[in-house]
Amino acid sequence: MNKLESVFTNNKVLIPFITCGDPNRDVTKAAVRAMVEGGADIIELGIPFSDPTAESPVVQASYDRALKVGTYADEIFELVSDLRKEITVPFVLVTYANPVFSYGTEDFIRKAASCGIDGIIIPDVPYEEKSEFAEICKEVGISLISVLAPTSTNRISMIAKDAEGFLYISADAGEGESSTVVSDVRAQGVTLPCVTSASISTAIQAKTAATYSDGVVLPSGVVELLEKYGTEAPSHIAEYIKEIKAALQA
Amino acid sequence: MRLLGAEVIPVTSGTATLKDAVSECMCEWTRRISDTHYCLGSVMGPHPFPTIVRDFQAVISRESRAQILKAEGRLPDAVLACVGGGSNAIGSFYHYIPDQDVKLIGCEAAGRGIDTFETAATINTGRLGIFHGMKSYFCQDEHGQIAPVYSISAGLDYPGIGPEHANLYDSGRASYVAITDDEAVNAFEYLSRVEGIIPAIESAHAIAHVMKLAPTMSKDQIIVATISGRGDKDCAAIARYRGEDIHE
Amino acid sequence: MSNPNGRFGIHGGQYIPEILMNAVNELEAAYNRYKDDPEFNAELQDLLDNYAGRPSRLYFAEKMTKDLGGAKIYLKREDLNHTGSHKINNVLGQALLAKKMGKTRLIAETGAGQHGVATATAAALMGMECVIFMGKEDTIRQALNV
Repeated sequence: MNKLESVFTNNKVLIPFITCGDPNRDVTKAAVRAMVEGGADIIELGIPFSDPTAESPVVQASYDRALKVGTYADEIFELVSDLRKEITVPFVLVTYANPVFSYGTEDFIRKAASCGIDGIIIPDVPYEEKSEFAEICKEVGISLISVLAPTSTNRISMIAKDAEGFLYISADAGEGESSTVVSDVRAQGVTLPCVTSASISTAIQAKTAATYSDGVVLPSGVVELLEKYGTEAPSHIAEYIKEIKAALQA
Repeated sequence: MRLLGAEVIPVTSGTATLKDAVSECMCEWTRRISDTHYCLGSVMGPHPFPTIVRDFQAVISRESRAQILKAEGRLPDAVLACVGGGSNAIGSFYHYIPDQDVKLIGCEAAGRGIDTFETAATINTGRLGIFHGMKSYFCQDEHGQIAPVYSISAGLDYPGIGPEHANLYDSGRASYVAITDDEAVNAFEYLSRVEGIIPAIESAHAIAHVMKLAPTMSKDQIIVATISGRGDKDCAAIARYRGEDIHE
Repeated sequence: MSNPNGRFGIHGGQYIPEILMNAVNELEAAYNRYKDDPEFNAELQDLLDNYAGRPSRLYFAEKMTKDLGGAKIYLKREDLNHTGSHKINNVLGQALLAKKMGKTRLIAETGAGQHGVATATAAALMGMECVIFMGKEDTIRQALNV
């Protein structure tokens, strides 16, 4: 069992997402500390991209803010290295394929591993295209997280059989559909944890989603606080995460 | 488009041009897959689009090859077409690809020049990347962020090129030249004046290269250039480019 | 020529979110089913000939040839097609395919507006709903097509 899977033992897992460098790297560091303080189990670190075709407007705007202050791969590796000195919570990078490919896929993934990244999600790399990323991930011990969608149907068993870490049920799925995906996964005999990100931002939504999944992703709740409070956001983020975590444990 | 019963949604994200419209379309498709077909307009995006669009556009070269054989009894020396995503160019090239003696030349939009940041000449200024569903050449910065491209031509104002063109370039079967806004506008006016044909500003990029190439060739050689579209839509914008205050 | 995975040399592929994979797979299957189907091709050819106005002319540009003083110049006149560009060739094919797949709605991107106009035209012809996405910048510079 790898570090990501072990987080799921006896625990409904909470996975907030944050864009690195929004509005700057110091705030990102403080926000990550606040999420850990609030009880986050895994943290998704978004690498900003100029053309995030699959993101909500809230996340698109945060990518723009982060790019404005020049947050690219090397800056993010440095940020992660610094955080790793004090934080043991697993980190999962969320990035489009091009920033990885353009950096040099092998080089990027090796550096990510050496600074303490545990998993990576590349939303525009489906099962059919994953080998050019998966091989090097395997070698350095990073889980390349597989994504499932409500439209995956006949593809679920193929995808689930070589998935690692956890299965990510994509934000495009509505709540009812996400639960169907989870039961389809279980029907295939796959025991890997399933997390859902179906537009969850409130404690009630998180609690509902956790009734059928092993964990919930907060795709934009933290980003919204950063948008609203800027450099003052970290204390609000700690409160927010605490509230969601309490709902999941109740 | 509205007259034809279509809803037109202006896209304001990013640079508010073609690439953002493609992104928005892909997003919309994920929201409503069951009854919706994404009718992608160029030889780009994920498989099978580049193949499907190429097959439907290949009618251009299927016809032109037969037509030139009938008119001249031989194949042309060069086939020229403008390239953005590249659907008219691949259609114009396709049936000539096995004819090794026929030069295939794609004309990209250089905008204000390939040594400036205001360009959309993908082959001439881009590098290998992954975007909009495909691996191909893209205008991008050193961090892999997609560049905000520019061309006077909205149809060529795209930071990527279809994967089949990228491969024709790699193999040396086709070459790709960059044509600036100025050259394209000159060609737009030239063809209108000399032949009474107002080409789309996109197509004028191909005509601009014909104007450079033809004088260097002998009188028994033949060029076939595709006029991909008509230029009525561009008249006001070209007049504005020339400093006249004309609006539709 | 692409290989079965949609690669042209090292280029191409399917770098899209999982949610779209079955949609492109369904499209590929439908295309493979119809591309060599005589009935589909006859229907498409009829649309190309009688609706789009094909074949387009290959015009000998004599004045331009004389003026430039070199090679003979022929122009392939895709501007003479219905809707005024080459875009109609692709749109008629895809709209017909979409109809065979049971789709009732077409969406499309457009830059100069030519592809948008062609798609809206085909949707009107085939009785399908149509939504066109166009960069706001482009809706200004190509207002005639909106």
